[in-house]
Amino acid sequence: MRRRTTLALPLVLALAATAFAGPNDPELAIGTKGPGFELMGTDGKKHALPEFLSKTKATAVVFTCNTCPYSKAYEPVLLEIAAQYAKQPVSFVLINSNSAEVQPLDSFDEMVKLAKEKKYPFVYLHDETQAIATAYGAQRTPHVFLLDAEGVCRYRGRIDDNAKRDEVQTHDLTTAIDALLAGKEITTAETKAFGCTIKWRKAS
Amino acid sequence: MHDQVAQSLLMPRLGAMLLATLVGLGACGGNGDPTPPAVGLEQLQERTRAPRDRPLLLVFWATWCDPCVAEIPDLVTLQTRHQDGLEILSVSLDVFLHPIEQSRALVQAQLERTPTPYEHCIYVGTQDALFAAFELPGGIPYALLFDAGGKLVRHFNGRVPVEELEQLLAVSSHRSL
Repeated sequence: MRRRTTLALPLVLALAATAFAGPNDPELAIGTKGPGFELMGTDGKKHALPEFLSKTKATAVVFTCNTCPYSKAYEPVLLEIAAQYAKQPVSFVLINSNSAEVQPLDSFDEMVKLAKEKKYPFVYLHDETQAIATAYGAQRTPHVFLLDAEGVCRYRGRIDDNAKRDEVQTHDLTTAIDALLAGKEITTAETKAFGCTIKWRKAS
Repeated sequence: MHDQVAQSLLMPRLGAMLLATLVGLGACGGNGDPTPPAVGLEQLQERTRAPRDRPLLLVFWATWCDPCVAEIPDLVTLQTRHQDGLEILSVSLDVFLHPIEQSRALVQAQLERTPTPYEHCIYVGTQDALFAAFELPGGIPYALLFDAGGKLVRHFNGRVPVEELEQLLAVSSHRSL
């Protein structure tokens, strides 16, 4: 019995490690093309991925929302980063994939209100079916995927390593954007996105 | 499979409780402690390795995380039902969003709203170090189950499945008799 346990334990741990990957689809791999989308924006227009790829050298697709405290903490950071790159060929595409059934304050109407109130300089798109979050393997808010001009994912993960501005040590997203614009290698291409879990629709 | 995991949960150590008392593993606040202490990564790791006579459930959460707060009654139930068969240690990650003073106030306020019969502490350290040490997937709630010998036996990504955990503990208790 003791021997059986010794042999079986690694198997149990291996199975536990597999389960640890979580129920959601895996994150979009570095070096693969970001799935296309056509989603309604808070500006009342539909926006598709090629629109951004054709205009800029770097497109930051940011899964975020109205309600997550972590997303709220990063909202001013995103506004600051967008202002920082306003004159450079960089697009910021914010996507809200949270279910409004689960979190009513993430409804499209609420998104429109927030975008107006905060004078968003970037598009804020509604992923009502959650198909785009699923396609990208986005799991958190905020969760970033940085695409190059060909739409290939070159960085994924967090915006930086600390939501408290005076304690940030690594500016992961902007470092990746700078490297991409300069045609240099992105040394840290993957980080763990920390934040709220995307609010998935309840199974019917 | 439960039998195999449960066996690994047993591993009672001679004098584990006595040793734990002697080395003074009181880094985190006890039941009802009004001021959950701040702990660093090393203290947390030491705690998971410390000798004890029962499994340890390490739960990462934050007051700003709605699913984490929603899980608290489940953890209260678990600890109440298994006072001698499970040790729960709740680790707040509020400092990832707020300064320590504010984090402590938020945790205290939450614990006043929902008193808990298990220990609490507040992690103070970097995300990177914690994520690497405990393989955090990036979302909370997230829990790790260690056996009495300090070996990691199960991850719970999301809310702890009470029934599954109780099945493990039930088999474990049965075997130890």
